[in-house]
Amino acid sequence: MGRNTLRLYAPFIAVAVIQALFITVAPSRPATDAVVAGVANDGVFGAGDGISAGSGGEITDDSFGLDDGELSSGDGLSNSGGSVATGGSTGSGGSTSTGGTGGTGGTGGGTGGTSGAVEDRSHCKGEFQFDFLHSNPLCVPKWQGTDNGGATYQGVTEDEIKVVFFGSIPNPAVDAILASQGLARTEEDEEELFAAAEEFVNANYELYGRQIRIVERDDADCPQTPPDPDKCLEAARKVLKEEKPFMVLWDSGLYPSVFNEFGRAGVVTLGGWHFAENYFTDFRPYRYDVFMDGTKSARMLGEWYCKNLAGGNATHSGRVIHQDIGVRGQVQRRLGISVPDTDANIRTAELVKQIVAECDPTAQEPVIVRYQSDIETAASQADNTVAAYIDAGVTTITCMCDPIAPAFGSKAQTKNNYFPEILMAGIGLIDFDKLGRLYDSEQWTHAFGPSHLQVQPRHEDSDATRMFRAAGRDGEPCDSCNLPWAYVALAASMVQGAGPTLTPANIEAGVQRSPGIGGWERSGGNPHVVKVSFAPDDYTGLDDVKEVYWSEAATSSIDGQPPAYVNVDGGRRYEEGSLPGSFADRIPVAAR
Amino acid sequence: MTWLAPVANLGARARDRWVRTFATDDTHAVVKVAGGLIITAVAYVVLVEGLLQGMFGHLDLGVVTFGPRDRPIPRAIFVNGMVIGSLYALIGIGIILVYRANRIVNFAQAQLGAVPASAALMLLAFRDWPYIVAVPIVLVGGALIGGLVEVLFIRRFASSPRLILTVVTIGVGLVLQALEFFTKRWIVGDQILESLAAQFTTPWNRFQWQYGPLTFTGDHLFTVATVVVLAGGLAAFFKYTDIGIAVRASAENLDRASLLGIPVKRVSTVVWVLAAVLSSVGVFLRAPLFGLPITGFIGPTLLLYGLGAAVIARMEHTPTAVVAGMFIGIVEGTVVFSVREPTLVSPIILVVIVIALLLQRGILSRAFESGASSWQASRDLRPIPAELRDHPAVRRARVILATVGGLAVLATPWVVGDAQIDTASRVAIFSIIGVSLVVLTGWTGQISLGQFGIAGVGAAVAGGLASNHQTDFFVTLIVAGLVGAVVAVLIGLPALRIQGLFLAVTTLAFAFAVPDFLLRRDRFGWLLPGLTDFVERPVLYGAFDMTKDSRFLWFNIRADAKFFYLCVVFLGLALYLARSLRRYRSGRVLIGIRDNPRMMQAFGVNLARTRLGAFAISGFMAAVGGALFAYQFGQIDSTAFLPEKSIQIFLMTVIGGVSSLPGAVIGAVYVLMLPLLPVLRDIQLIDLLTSGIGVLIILQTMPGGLIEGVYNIRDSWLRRLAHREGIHVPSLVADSLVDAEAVKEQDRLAARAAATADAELEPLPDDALVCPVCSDIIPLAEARSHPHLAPPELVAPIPGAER
Repeated sequence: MGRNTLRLYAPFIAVAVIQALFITVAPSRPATDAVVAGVANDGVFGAGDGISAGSGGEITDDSFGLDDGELSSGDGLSNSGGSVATGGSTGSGGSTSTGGTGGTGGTGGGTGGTSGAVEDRSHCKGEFQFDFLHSNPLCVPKWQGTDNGGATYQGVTEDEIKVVFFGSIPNPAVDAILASQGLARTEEDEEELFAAAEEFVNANYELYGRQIRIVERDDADCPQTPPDPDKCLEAARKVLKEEKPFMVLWDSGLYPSVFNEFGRAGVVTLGGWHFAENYFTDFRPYRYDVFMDGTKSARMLGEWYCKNLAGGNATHSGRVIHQDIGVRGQVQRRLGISVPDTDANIRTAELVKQIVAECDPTAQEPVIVRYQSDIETAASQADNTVAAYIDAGVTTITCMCDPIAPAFGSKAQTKNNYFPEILMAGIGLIDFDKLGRLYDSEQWTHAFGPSHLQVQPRHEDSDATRMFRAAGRDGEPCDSCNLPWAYVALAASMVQGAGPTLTPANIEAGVQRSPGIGGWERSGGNPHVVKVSFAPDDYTGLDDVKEVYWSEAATSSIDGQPPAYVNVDGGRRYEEGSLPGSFADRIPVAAR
Repeated sequence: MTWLAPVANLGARARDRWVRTFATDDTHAVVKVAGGLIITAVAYVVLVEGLLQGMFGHLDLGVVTFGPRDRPIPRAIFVNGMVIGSLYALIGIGIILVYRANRIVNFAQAQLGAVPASAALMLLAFRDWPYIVAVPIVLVGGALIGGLVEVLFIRRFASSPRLILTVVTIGVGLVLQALEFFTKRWIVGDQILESLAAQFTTPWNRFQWQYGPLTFTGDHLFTVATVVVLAGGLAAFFKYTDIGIAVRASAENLDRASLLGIPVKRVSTVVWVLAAVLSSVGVFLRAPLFGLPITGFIGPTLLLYGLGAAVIARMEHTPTAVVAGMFIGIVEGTVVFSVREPTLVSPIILVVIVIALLLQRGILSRAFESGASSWQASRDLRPIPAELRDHPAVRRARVILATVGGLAVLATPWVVGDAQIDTASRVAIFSIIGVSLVVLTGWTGQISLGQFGIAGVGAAVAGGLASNHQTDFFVTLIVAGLVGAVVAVLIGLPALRIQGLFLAVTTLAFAFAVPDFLLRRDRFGWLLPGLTDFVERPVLYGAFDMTKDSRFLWFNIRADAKFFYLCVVFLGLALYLARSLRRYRSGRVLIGIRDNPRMMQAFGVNLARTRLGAFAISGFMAAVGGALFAYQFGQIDSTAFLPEKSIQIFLMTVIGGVSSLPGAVIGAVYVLMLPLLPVLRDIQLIDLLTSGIGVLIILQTMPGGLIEGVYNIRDSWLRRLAHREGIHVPSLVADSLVDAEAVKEQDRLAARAAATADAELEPLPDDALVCPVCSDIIPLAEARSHPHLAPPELVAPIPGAER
């Protein structure tokens, strides 16, 4: 090595040596008590702003209960992946009347200031706080205390609770498509809805001297499609810093990493449709959702299969399933599971496969066929997927997927003269009438199975419209406003259930204490009401399913038009462990 | 891969021997076609029935069996793959056409004909128009769109560097995407979503037959037949028509073709018309097989498959493109059918493309190099002239600029605000990756469309080490960088044999493989953090906590601001490293290799080692950028590393100025920070300015990227300074002289073009020729005495000049 070379590289060598020394003596390891920058330092969990929430140090890795063992059982159905533009977008269009999910909790109210006082329940309507809606929260006594603890947590003051409704920017093209179906909502729609919702919640829920303020933040630069997680994460962090909310609501099944970030930041967050159970339990007491988590969805699907389809021949397929497979009623069932090719989703599919294989050991093992959420190649993939099913002798297909994938899949099946049983997975809004119409009718006439959605009331009778009118508004909110309302309603119920000292820990305690609302018997067999409750390992609301099958002749309760799903037994709902068997008695065989 | 060359040579020799043995002058073409068919059949048997069947199905050779299945993959899968692949081939042929005319990858190829084709399909499906009426709409509409695109956009950038023109096609694609959507919406109103379920009949779809598990219709047959006829027709067009020969001539050497009187503009228009027609035919043929297109988006997947077919066809041989496209379709179908994991397709396609490229490397290199004389890949920006470099005013200006720049960086957290500081960190990180592209693309001439993929590898390594093993921050960065360098070298190995746009294809395929394969927890769970695990920012040297606020003098420094400064430090290091590289011998060698590799070899430079060195350095930087991204993002999410991101980084760097280090930073600032300006966001101009039309406008104004504008201002100031101080600076003065010369040259070329056009109208007499310089018609007898045509030996030697 010449002198010049040495002189050239000497500074680098010196820096490297010093750096090596530092690495040995004073290593730069990841912070072990880190929370997301900018939130942790606001003193919310410490003393910085003088807020003594008593939650200090909760937001550590330990407090998340991060446990590798738990994680390995995490099954997901996040619908998060890929670039199927319309997949996520359709979901977020949120057309469904999920209004029945609001109103959990309530029984935990009054823990902080009512002891010793005479409970005032004069405002109660029976066991409910009010009776304007299909799903009403349980009644809590009127709070008579004077000290609600003031600023008990970030985003909470003596008289206000800040709730952010986070939003992503819809792809203009996709949004225009969805708008044509009444599946999208405008900024004006949301402003109108949230103004009414704010008034309604503040007037009718017990908020212990505070008022909820909903801040709509869909100005955030987070695109629905194509996926851009880093931009969305930045948007989320920006919202956290600028708004410092107590609670974030996001009616989305996209971007698990963004929901993780909200959880890490110690903000109570509602959203993440069908994400795996551990996406919620790992971030307790901060992560919740209205819909059923992916793990439980998979378990219920497996249970329904085992009780109804296992061990039998395919009786509800087309007359000829396929010329290489056989005819209806003469071929033993083999399940095929279509699932997006992402880490979390595959785990969920594996769980269904495992349950089915255990309950039906004589049958051939279920086949999992992954697909890539790529609108460019979706159709060509569908052909090969169908070929794989036919080749494996699959008689029954379930799609644990976004609502657009079956449009390609069903078309490819018909094109290739393949008419298997279509087992509804119940998730992804595939059980929504308007979306069902996008699927090939020759296939969908063989669709049946569990459905998460409650029987849809007409829009003018939906919970969102009822709330809207109870808040003194004329007319109706937007067609797809039931979904954001369901989130606001659940958030309000959680606050009501937490009591006057509003902290995430008390939110968790409140929802865990509550028996929940709904349930077929308790609601008197009301098909518009779903069971919403929480449990130690269950941080998502929806707990029961109904059964449906597709009929070309049936009319939808949403728009009065055919075809539509038929709700079996008037939309009777069942909880995990109590799903019925003998489906053939309830679900007819299609003529074709 | 050395064993591959003899295999390829064997094929070529077999073909040549076949032609020599059986062909006469009259039967040459027929024999050649027959030879091609035989070779294709042999290749099908070996590659599909042998290799693919053995790898993914069941291959029974009597004494021994191979494959994961207990029975062979049905041939219907291969047939279906051929049909789908023939559509990829159409995109590939379009890419070949444009490449031959303009020496660029046309990113808008798949989109080019989508407007008329979608319109025709919607009219068929929703307005019950007859099929026979839809066909002319597709053909004429495609031709019109192609012509318009060429005249409105491509022609305006004809003299720009090739990279700029390549980026222009991205902008054109976005414009066409919007146009398609609005056209479709105009036709069907609110029924766009219904197009998912819409059906329509064609004259061919009543013919159906079952083959294995799949059902085929007349549409399948019609598609393949159309593609084969089109490919054959185009091959004949290139070979036997004047305009086809002109296209080939333009592709070989634009200047020479132009001098020989070939109307290169008209040739370019014809090529774009043909490319657009191919595209619209492709979209139209696809619909009966797979349904109507619901959005106007045609993204990088089809582009990759089309590019794959094109490069396997050496960017020139359309029948080969058809075969290659079919093979890609077969591979895709086989993997989805057999393994049932579509994310494995892209890594396998990557392998297929690399092998195919290596097999034909000699031909590809020549194909690329033949065009290098005519087109510049990127525009070089010169340093401050030596005469002014040490001038006190210049030195003062540099100090002031450095101070202002430093203060601006320091003040950034306060200027952009706490909420936007994450974006500022991302600008620094993307700038580091941009710098890596400057080294690789701007200086070495190796185009990478997969740079963010390498960043993804770095993110995975650093994230895994930090999250799973609590490894030291600097160690994670170094390890990530080293792994990135190794990965980059592996990707760069083909660059020893091929270069330029061909390498772009392999890097694009790599960009797909990273999120699809490498960042998957079911395959690399041992490396990646868990689904709900975080990559926490470090406590530097056990003292500087990047996750907590600190006080420094009177300032409260937010945790995010500290991380921003850390990213800036690494950006500074990357810039310093790259600048050092450029200033010394290594940089000069890189530039030399880019501009004239053969000459550099003559100087004793080891091309292979130097190129791999550039890949290693570039990969190291990109991976370190990726590692910082992991800390900034806090999680490893495969969707954060989609190929679109790699293309965005490429676009960003070209917008900034791909051959300039500050350009990389300016590009990142423009693309990422511009959307933060509330004024622009409020009036919803952002998308227009950072993509689509905005990019077209910027590049029209500053073909060297935004940095060119900066350098123009600098040069203008230097010119004034030189004038004021009376300093003679030839390089600055030359600019104006060159400009004046350029105007004269343009006038002269225009006059010559007119003369040539006249000459075309009036056939030359047999015993005359046109002087390519002055366009005079000269009798052959006088040619030797014509000043422009005199043979060199007749030119009197210059006294004193050495021979």
